Amino acid sequence: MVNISALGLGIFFAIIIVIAVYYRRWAESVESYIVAKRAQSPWWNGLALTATYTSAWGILGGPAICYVYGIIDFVSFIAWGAGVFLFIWYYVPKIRELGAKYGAVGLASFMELHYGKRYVGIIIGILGWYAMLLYVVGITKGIGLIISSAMGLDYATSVVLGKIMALIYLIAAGLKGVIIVDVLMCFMAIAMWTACLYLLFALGGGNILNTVQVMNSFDPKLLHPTGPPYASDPISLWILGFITFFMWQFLPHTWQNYLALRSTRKRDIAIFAALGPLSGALATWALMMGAAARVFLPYEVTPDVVTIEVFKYFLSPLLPLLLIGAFSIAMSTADSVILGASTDLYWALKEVVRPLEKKIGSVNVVRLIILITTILICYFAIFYMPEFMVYVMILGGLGFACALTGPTAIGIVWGRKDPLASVISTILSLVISQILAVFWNVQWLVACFIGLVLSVIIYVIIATIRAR
Amino acid sequence: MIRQKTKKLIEHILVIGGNLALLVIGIVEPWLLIFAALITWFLLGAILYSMYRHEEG
Repeated sequence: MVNISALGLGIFFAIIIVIAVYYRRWAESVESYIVAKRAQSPWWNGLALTATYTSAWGILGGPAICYVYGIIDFVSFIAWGAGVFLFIWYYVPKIRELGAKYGAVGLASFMELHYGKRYVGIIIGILGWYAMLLYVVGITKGIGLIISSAMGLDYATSVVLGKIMALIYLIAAGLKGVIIVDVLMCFMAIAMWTACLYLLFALGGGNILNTVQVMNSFDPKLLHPTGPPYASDPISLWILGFITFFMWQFLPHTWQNYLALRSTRKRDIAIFAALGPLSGALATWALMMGAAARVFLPYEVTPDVVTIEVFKYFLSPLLPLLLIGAFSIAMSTADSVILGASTDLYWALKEVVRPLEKKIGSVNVVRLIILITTILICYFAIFYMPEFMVYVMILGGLGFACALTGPTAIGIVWGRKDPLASVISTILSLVISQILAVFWNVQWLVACFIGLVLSVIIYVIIATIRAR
Repeated sequence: MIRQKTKKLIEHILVIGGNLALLVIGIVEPWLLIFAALITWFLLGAILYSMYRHEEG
C-alpha cells in the first residue's frame, strides 16, 4: 500500500516538472503570469476551479462530522455548491468584464480600481493575504500528514516536500501551471470519490438503496439529526448555510480563475457554472462514508480519519487511491490560495516593492512574494502559529468573506461606489462578528452571518449618507 | 424584444429554481443529494448552454 502511494506521488512529481518546463513561457508579464492572459477555456478553468474549491475538508473533515452527527453536514456542501452555481452565473461575468476593463489581477487590485482609491487595495490586500495565510496553514498540515503516511517520511520533511512540489509549477508558470496541474488533480479526486461511491454500493450488496435503508433502520436520526452543535431547525440551517457560503466565492484564491476566463459569453459561463460546484456534489459520496461508518464499522474510530478507517476495513486495496486523491484536493487548494494571497500582498505593497521591480522585474517580485509566503506557511505548519495571529481572524476565510459582502456583493453591482464605505464596512463587521464569536460564544456560522448582514447595512448607510 | 425578455425570465427561473429545489430536497430527504446535486448542476449547465449556444461573442 505504502509503495503504491509513494509511486503515485513520484509519478505526479515527474508530471508537474514537465508541466512547469512546458508552460514557463506564460511568465512573460504580470498579466500572463497571474491571470493567464484572460484567455482560458471554461472547461479547463471550471475543472481547475472545482479542484481549488475542494480542500481536505471534503474527504476528512466533512465525513468526520457525519460520523459524529449524521449527514447534516450535507448542508455546508450542497448549500455552498448552489452558491457557486448562482455566483458564477450572476457575478462572474460582471467581475470578468470589469476586471478586464480595469486591468485587475486579483481581489485587491479589482477593489482598488473599482473604488478608485489606493487605500482600498492596501487594506483589502493585506487582510486578504492574512486570512488566506491562516487557511492555507491548515491545508498544509493536511498535505504533510498525507505525504508522511503515504511515503513514510517524517512530518516536517513531508510539509516541505509538498510545498516544493507546488512551488515548481507555481513559480515557473503562474496561473497557467496551476490550472493544468489542478485539472490533473481534479481527475485524481474524481477517481477517489468514485471509489467512495463504489464502497457505498458494496455495503448494500450492490444496491445503494439497501445501504441507506440499513442506515435508516439502525438510527433514523442518523440521516435527520436535530439539536446542537448545528441547529434544531434544518430549514433555518439550510438558509443560513446557503447565504453565508455564497460569500465564500468572493475570497482571493478563486479571483484569478474568474479573471482568466476567455469571455463572458453565456455559453462559456454555463460550462463554468456546471463544473464549478462539481466537488460539492461529489464530496457528498465521501460524506456518506462518515454516516455509513456509524452503522457498518464494528469499532469506534477517531472521527478525523473515519474515511481512511472505512477503506481500511472494507476496501483496503483502494486505500492508496484515497490517499492520492486526498493529497490532490489539498494541494490544488493550497497552490491557488498561495497565488491569490501573494498577488494581493504584491498589490498592497506596490510602492514598497517598486525599486526591486525596476531591478528584477514585476514577475520576479511576485515570485519572491510567493516564495516568502510559502516559507512562512511551512514554518507555521511545522512549528506553531502564535495564538494572537489566529485570534485576529478567528472566523477564518468565511468570516472575512462575509465581512466583504458590502463592498463586493453590493458594491460591484450597485451604482453607488464608495471607497470609504467599503473599508469601514469590512473592518467593522469583521471586528464585531469576531467579538461575538470570542466573547459571547455565538456559534461561528451565526457570527459569520451577522458579519455579512452588518457589512451590507454599514456599506449602504455610509454610501447613502456620503452620496447626499 | 419580448422573446428576449421571456428567455431571460426562463433563465432566472431555471437557475434560481433549480438550486432552490436542491435545498428543498436537502430538507426532505438529504441522502438523495448524493445524485440529485450532480444531475441538477450538469443539467442546468447543459440547458443554459443550449439556450445560448448561438450567442455572438
